[in-house]
Amino acid sequence: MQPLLFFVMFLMLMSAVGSYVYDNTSSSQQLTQERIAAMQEYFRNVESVVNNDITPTYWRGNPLGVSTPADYIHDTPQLRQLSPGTFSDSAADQWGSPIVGKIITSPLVIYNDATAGVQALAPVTGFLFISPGPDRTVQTDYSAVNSLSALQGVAAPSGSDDIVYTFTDEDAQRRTFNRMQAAVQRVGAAEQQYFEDGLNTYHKAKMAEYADQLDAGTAPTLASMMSVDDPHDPDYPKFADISKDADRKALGVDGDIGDLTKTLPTMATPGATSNAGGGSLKLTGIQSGPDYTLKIANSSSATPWSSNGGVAGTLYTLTVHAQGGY
Amino acid sequence: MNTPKLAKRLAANRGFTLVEMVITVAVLAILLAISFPSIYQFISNRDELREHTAQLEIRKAMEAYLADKGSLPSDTGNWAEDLAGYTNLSADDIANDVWGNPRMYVEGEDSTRNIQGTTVPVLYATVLSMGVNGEADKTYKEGATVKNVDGVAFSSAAGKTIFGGATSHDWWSYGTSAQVVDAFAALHAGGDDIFTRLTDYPQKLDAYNKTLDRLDRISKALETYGRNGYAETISANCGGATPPAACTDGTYDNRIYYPKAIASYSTGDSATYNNNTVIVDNRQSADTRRTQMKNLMRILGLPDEFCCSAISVDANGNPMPFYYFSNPRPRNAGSGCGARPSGTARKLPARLTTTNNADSASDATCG
Repeated sequence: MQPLLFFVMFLMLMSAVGSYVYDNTSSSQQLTQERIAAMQEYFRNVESVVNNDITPTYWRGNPLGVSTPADYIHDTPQLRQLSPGTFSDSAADQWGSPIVGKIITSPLVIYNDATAGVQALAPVTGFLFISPGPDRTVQTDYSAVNSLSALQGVAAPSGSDDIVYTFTDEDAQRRTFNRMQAAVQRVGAAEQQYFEDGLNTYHKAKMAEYADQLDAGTAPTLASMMSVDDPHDPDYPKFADISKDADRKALGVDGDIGDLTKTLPTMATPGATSNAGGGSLKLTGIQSGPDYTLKIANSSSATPWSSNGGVAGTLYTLTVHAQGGY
Repeated sequence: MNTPKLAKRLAANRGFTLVEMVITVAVLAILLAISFPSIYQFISNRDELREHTAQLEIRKAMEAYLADKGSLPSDTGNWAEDLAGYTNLSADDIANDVWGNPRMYVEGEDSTRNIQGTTVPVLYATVLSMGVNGEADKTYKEGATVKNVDGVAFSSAAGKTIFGGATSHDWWSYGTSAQVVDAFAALHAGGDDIFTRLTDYPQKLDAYNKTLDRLDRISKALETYGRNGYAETISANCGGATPPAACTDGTYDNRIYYPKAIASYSTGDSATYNNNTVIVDNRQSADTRRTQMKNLMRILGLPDEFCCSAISVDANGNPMPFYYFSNPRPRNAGSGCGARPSGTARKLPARLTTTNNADSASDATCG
C-alpha cells in the first residue's frame, strides 16, 4: 500500500508542476507573440513620425545627425514620447534590450527638370532598427552597412528572432518638395490671372479712349496704335509685387508665400551636437521687362537642400508668361 | 487462509527508524532551503510576466477605446469599467495588478502641440503597477547611479511641478495647464514598478495627413465645379450670332461659379454676395454644419466623410465639420481685409478652413 500511496502522491505532484509549467509556457508564448507584434507596430509608428512630422518640418529626417537608433530616439522630442513596451527607457524594446541599428544620410536627387536646369538634392535618411527579440541577442550583422541601398537590404538571418525594420524618408522629402512646387505654381497662376485682368481693363480703357477720339475726329491711325510701346505706358498692367503684403493678399497667396519663405525650425533637444534646423527659404519675384515674363524662384539659404551640383541656390523657378498687346 | 502470511509480512515490515526520519527530514529541509530562492524567483518572474502581459492588454484596450471614441477614459471616472468593454480582462483585472494592488491610471491632453504649423491636441496616458512591494517607488537605478523618479507632468502658475517627491499612491498626475511633452517622455518607473504609456501622437499625424488630403481633394473638386459652371454659362448664353453684352463686358467672367454660401455673419457684407442659396451656414451648430457640408460633398461628388476634419471631434465625439466660404477674400486689398468685392468684382476661389474665419477687423480672420 505504501508504495502505491507514494506513487499516487508523486503523480499528483508532477501533474501539478506540469500544469504550472504549461500554464506559464503558454502565457509566455502568448506574451512573446504580442510583444513581437507590438515592436513592429512601434517601428511603424516611428516611420510615421519621421515621414509625417520630422522630415516635413525640418526638411531632413535626421536633424541632429546622430548615427544610432538609441541616440535618435533619446534625442528627438517627437520620438521620446513613444514607447515600444513596458520599460522606462524609450529606446528599449519589448524585452528591455536596447534597440540597435544604423542611421545613414545621403544626398539624393528628388527633383530634376532638365529643361529648366533645376535639380533638387535632398538629404535622404535611411533607418535600420533592430530589436534583439526574445533571446535578447542580436544575430543580424550590419557592421558593413554604409549606404542607403545596403541599409535597405539588411534582414534577419535565418533562424534568428531579431526584428529588423528599415525605411527611408525619400518619399517624404519628395512630398515636401512637391508641396513647395505647388505653392510656387499657385503664386504663378494668381499672378497670371491678375495680369490678364489688368490687361482687360487696360484694353477697355484704350478702346474707350479711341472711341472718344473717333467722336472728336482725332482718332489715331491703326498703325500708330500698333506702334505704342505698351510696357512703357504708365497705365500698362504690371504683375503684383509679391514682396508686398497687400499684393500677396490681393492675389490670395499670402499663405503660400508664408510657407515658401519660412525659416525652418530648430530642434531643441538635450545633447544636440550639430545644426538641428534653422535655415530659411527665399522667394524672389523678378519682372523681366518687355517680354512680360515673371520669374518666381524659391531658393535655399542654409537649408539642408541644395540645387544642381550640390551648391545652395535656386531650388525651383517658375516662369510666368503673360500675353501683351491688342 | 492467508492470515498467517499477512501477519508474517506485517511483522517483518517494521517502518522507519527515528534516525532515518531525522535524516530524511534534514535532507528535505536542505533541498527546500536551496530551492526556495529559485522557486520564489520563478513565481516572482511569473507574476512580473503576467503584469507585463496585463499591461499590454490594457494598452491594446486603450488603443481600441481611442479608435472608437476619439478620446481616452477619464482618470477621474471609472476608467477600468470604461476599458472593460474593449478587452477580455474584467474591470477588476484592469483596476488591480497581479499582486492585488490598484493600478494607477493618469491621462491628459496637450492642447498646444504644433504639427507643421497646425495646433493638434495630443492625448497621453500611463498605467502604473506598484510592483510586488505595493509601493510607488521614488528612485530607480541607471547603471550604478540611483536617480529620482521625476515625473514632471505639468506647468503650474508657480512653474513646473516635480512629482519625484510625491507620496506613494500619488506618483504623478496632470494638471489643467498645458502639459509638457518632454515631461511625459521623461517619465520613469521606479524600483520594481512596471508602467506603460500611450500617446495618440502617431494616429494624430495620420489624421492630420488625412485632413490635408481631404482639403486638397475638395479644393480640386471645387476648381472643377467652377470651371464647369463657367463653361456651361458661356455655352448656354454666348453661342448665338449676336451674344449679349454679358458675354463680353465681364459679367459672366465675374460671377461666382462655386457653390454659394453665407460668407459672413454681417448682413452688410453678405448682401454683396448674391447669396440666395445657402450651402453651409457657418453660424450654425456643428451637427447642422456637418449635414450641410455632407450635402456640399455630394454636390462635388466626394464621399460624405470629406465633410469633416479627421483630427477634431465635437463634444459628442463626432467629427468636426470644415467651414466653407464661397468667396473668402476681395480681389483688391485695401486696409485690413480690404473692401468686400462688389457684384462684378473678381473673386478668389472658395475656401475651406478648419476654424471659423468669420469677418472681423482683424487681418487674420478675413473670411
